[in-house]
Amino acid sequence: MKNEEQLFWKFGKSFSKGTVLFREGDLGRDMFIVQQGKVQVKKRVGSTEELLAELSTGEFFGEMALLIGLDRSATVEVIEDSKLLVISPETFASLLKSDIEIALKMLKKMAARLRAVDEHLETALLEAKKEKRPG
Amino acid sequence: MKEGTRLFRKFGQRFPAGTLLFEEGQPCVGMFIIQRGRVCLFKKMGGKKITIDVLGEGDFFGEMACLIGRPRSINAVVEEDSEILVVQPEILESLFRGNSGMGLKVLGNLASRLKKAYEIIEGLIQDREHPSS
Repeated sequence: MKNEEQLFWKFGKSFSKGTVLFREGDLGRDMFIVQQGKVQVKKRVGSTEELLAELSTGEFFGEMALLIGLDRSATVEVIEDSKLLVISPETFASLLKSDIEIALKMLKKMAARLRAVDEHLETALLEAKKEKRPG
Repeated sequence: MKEGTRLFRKFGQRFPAGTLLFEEGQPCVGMFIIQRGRVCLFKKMGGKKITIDVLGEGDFFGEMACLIGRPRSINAVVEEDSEILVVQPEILESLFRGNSGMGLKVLGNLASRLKKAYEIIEGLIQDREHPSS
């Protein structure tokens, strides 16, 4: 059995188009990895809902809830019939150990996200400072 | 030989207070793990030094630039005489691949920092929507 099939057999679930996996503010500790298909990540900003990202094969989400117990900070909806790996905190550590490529990919992706957020933050802080200055 | 001593023999270096370990814009030469001492991470903004964090024994830093293959985004200076493990990028990858649990530790640390950044951003958005002044 190929590694991918093995993973799906162990952790995989199929979700049909239209399924809402979780909503902003929900509690939940599972992380998801897209093996096949596509999901949309959306967030309420004021009264509108903004599309943050579309994730497809090989990408993951929900890792913040798993790693540090954060409430869901966005809503995720399946927009194409999908096969997802559902990883609970209990299985996370063993997954990382058994599949080093996933672990390294996650590390790199997280670091890239953090850098991107830090850069946004720097710009926002500079702007906030400018706005506070009178005149 | 204790694990700490063994690691220090392999990767350790002593840095006197005041040593600038790296600066914004420099390429990554490795990740740092503090065995003893204190290091200040800071950013220069408009000529001012803004402290991001002060790290001590057991803390690590400098892994971001290695992981994403981009230049340093911050500066790191030694605040008191320190013993630090310097792990080169090639070794870092094998460290993550090994059973040290380092990968998981770094992942958890990145997540906490992301959370902190999100909280600051949310604060900024709220300030903008409901200015207190």
